[in-house]
Amino acid sequence: MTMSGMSLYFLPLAPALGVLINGLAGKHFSRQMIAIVAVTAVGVPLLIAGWLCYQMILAPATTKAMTATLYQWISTTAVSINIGLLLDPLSMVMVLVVLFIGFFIHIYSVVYMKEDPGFRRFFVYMNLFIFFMIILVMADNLALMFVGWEGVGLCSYLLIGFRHEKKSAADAGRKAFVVNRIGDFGFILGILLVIVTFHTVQFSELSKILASHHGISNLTLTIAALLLFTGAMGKSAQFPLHVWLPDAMEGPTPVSALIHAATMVNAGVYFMCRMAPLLQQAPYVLTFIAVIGLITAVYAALSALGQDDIKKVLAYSTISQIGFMFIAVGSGIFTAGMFHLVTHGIFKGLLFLGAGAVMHALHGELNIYNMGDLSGHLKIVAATFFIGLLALAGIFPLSGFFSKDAILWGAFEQYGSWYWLLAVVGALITALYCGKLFGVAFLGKQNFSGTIHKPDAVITMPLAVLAFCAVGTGVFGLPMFTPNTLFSRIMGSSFAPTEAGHAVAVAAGSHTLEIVLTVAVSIIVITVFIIALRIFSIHRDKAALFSASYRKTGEFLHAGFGMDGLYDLLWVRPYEWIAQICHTVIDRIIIDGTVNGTGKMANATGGLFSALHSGQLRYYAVSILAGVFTFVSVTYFLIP
Amino acid sequence: MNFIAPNVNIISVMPEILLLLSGTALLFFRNCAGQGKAIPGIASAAIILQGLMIPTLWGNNIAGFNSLIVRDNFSILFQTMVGATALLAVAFSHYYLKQRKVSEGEYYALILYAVVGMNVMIAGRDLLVIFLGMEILSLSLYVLVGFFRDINESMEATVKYFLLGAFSSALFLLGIAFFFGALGATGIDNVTTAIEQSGFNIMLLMMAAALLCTGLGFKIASVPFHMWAPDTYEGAPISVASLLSVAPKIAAFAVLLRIVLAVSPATSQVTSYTIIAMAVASMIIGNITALRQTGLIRMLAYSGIAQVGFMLIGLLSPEQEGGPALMFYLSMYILMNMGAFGVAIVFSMVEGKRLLINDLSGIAAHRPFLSLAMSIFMISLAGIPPTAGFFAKFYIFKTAIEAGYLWIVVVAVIMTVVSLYYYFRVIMVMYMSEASDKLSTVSGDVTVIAVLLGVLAFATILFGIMPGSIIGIISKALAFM
Amino acid sequence: MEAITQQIIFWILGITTITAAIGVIAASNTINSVMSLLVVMLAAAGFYMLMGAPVVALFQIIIYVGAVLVLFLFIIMLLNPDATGLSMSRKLSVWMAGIVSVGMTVVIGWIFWQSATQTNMQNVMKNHVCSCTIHDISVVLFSRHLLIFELTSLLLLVAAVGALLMTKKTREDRS
Repeated sequence: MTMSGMSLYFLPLAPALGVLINGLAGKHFSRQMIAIVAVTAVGVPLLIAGWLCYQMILAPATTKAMTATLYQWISTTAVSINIGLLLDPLSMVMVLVVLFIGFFIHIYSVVYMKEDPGFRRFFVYMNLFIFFMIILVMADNLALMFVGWEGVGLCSYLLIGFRHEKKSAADAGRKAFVVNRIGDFGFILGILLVIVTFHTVQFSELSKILASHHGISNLTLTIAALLLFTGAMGKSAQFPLHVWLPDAMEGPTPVSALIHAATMVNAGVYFMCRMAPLLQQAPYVLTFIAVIGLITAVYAALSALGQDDIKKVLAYSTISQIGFMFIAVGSGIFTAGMFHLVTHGIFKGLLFLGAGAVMHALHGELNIYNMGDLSGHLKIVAATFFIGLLALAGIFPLSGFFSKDAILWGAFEQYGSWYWLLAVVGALITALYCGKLFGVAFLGKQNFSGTIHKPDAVITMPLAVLAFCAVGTGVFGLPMFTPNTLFSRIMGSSFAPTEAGHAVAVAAGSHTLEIVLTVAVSIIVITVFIIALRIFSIHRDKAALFSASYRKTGEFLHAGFGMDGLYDLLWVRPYEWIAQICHTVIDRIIIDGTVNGTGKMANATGGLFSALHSGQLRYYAVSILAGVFTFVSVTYFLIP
Repeated sequence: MNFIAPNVNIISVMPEILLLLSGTALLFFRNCAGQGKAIPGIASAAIILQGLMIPTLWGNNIAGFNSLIVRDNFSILFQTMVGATALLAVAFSHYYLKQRKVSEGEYYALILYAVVGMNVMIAGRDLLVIFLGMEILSLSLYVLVGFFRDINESMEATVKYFLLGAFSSALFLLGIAFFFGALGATGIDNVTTAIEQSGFNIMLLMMAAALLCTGLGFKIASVPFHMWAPDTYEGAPISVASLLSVAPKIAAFAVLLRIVLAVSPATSQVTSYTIIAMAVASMIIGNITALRQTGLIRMLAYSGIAQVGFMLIGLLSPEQEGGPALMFYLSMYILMNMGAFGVAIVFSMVEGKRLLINDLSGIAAHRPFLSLAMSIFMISLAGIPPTAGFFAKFYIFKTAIEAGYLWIVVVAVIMTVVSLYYYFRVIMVMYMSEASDKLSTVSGDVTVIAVLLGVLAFATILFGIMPGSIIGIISKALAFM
Repeated sequence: MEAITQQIIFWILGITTITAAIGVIAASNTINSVMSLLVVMLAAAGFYMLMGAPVVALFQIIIYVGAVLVLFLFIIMLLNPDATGLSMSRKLSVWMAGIVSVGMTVVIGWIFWQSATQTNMQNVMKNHVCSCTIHDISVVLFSRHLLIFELTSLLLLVAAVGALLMTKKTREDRS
């Protein structure tokens, strides 16, 4: 094994060590010590990942993927599964995003969680999350990826319910848990179907089989892809499985930044990119993904417009942006999807950390209408937040502009102008709520009283770094209007065979239309942003008047189109009803009856007779007899 | 008719003789203080000794009593599993009995007798031998469940268990009668020769298969023969419940596997139909009813019913990979279920009453290691990677899909997803609720049990990460069949 | 002539058994119920005689009539279950149990009937004509079925331990 092969293990190992040290011995550590351990556990692998990335760029195109197999996990006649890590450009990008953003969020959390009694618990969970995320990203097969997938789910669940004394937090954790199970159901079935059809779960072998004349029916491929996409939908909060993410904001803000904006929720996009060879051969599923992505992008952007909780705005915005990534996936431009994932991870992480800083400064205030004129008080926070919003709105020359533009153009090429137009509407609404958010919270009249906590350097430093990156990562989108951007060169061979067709199409098409559309959209977006900014800062009274006259619409948007109510009606109530029936009929009446009653029995022989008395025993015997009767009589019909 | 001395071959039953002798010796110990370690020590020594004896017979196919009992690798593996479970149960019992002033000798003797019964069930090649083994096991368990006569629930549980158990034994016996009617013999191996020469009555054999499945279905507590389980587990001493929830299932599954393997060439429709019905019903009813349980033991009982449903899927393709998958599931089930019951024993040492799930509120703050272990067991029972439970389920599902039972796997996966809810509720209660002062301090010395639980938890993770070794052993055992 | 006599005895025994068995579950007085059971047992012994197994018939009478039923009677007299309300109630569960039992009897009886008419059945049973003298039974018991014999003794040991344990505790309770 080569040096770099060995070093792959360090990436998951370091956060695992962090968990062990802080989890087992952390009780005796000072807070400082805990923080040092936790931050180092992310920082060291970040350095290693950087070094590996450097090596990877230098390496020739054929040897860009590094693999390391620890041992054979499962070996049966039909399938053998390895515990193996794979670091190709695709996972490299994800690893860097996870570790880079994770590192700064860890630093930020040290101050942010300073006063929290669950300080150690928080960092143990965070390191555990990083560990599982790395496993998810670097797994070289579906089964191991599922391990990471469940692991990050568990961490997310624990961290959403971190403030468990709050009932809403515990409920939100539970909701996230239940909704994600629906996705997992698809994932598990998908894996089983893949095993049965391909007899392997290794990504490299899967793509090898798919590239050959495999003779597997189109229907099977479509079903497998669809099942796996269901898993991605749950984790990446795509319509209609998105309902858990807005509630997940109950978790501490660094958690929202790391898990529910920058990394975990994007796992679905990464997963779909991993499965690109499969998706390429299931065109219906690609269309389905594109449609789901578009619905989510527009729907969530509209919902974000109706929120007045700063974190909820960002949560819906995250859902919407992931929708854009799925538009890219559905259009077959996986590189663009990954690029948007990177830029979004950075600027959304930045925005959440900024929101956290604002909350910190205003003693936990979340409602944006109770803020106003923060730019005067929190200069650095406001500036970085503004940069984040510009990137989110997709304004030139920030990173969001490059990534979003690539997606829009790809969608135009793949699905035509109507589809493109709807996506553009989504982008415009994004600009609108970005303008609104900044206008209401940071400009205009001051709507709060009391003192302001000035954030210290440890809080502003990560903001500054992330803001710089939010501006700078756009470079990777250069040169524009070609398939040969810097980013896709880094991604190298990851999607080479699958995107070849696309590249040719772009080369053949004219650039003129693309450039014209881009410029036009840009101008409209900037206009919308500026207008929103003005309306919600200077002419706020008019805006209030306007929204008062359309109160119902506002409430509808605020409730996310009433999806929660719909879920309640469609799923929760019938489920409770069934559980209740099971409980009352099977449990309460037939079974629980005497067990609870026996406590009242006075004499020692009471137990003996109560069992005979209650008729329970008779029910049990009848149940046995009925079972036998069924079996025997059906047997009779089976007799040849 | 002249007397021909049977070929006894005493080596074939040495482990049982050892257990029997030490069990009978224990009957004479009267240690009423309940403090001594001698009695459980002797009991565990006997189990360990027989556990050491059994593997020495590996690969030899030692037959005794005119081949009424055959120690092939298959039975050695199952017997080792039973021995391990009994050992854990003895260790748990020591802690449970400590608080109660009872004479322990009989208690441990009965556990040893139960192990003898299970060993006989597993190694027996004749339905009559199997039946007698089953009865020895059942009688010991009836008494163990009602061991503390002063507890009403315990009495009620034992009466229920006894009456229904006798009822199901009668059905099993009826099955044997049909079997005899079909073949003119009660040996399991006779089926194979009879099928080859087609000298049997198919109608009666099918009926026998259905009835035998029924009798064993009671022992493994599968729906619709499950209703005794929650009441009995909850009424019994928890240490007995832990034994009851695992060991008889292992033995009964060994018998089921043997019978199904033998008769399925002739009666595959009946057996597969019966097993499908039991599996699907167990998964659905077990999991859904477990959702609303408030008592921890009751929840574990329903979870056990559901787990049996998953295991039964393995019986659908016993000739292919179903057999090894089932055995792997069972061996992992020992780890996680005994672990969960072990934690329950530690927690019940304070309460002494019916243990509710909510009683565990916030226990993680006071007992971090115990809570971590419990979480691992719950995660494993739920079948989440990288624990042993995940791979157990995964293996079973895979074999079922290969055998063409996709719809059953779909049901099973849906039910797995449902089950996550109640397993995770335990974790959530432990980690995410306000601490209740009820259980905040567990008194007494729990070092040994804690070490055992640690080992179990570690093994649960370890076999989840590297299940290969176990699978290898199991495949080797089944290759001889 | 002999065959006809056998037939007549068979039918008499059969009708007696069924009537008495119904009596066991239908009698409202527990003592009557046990007495009906006694008749069932005796009739079963008659069947064994008819099949040429006098030893089994003897055991049936000694064990069931002589020991088990006497025990039943003792327990009933001691506990007086009518006073504790252990009598039959006519609840839903009883009806369900009745229907299922009758159904099962019908199915099993039908299958027996069907298979008995198959020639295959006679073939299977042909090998098992045995002269059931004490000598033969003991030879089989100590050679072919030795293990079963030993296991039965173990079963009795466990039963004895269990019974002692249960009653011993009761005495402690009372004192």
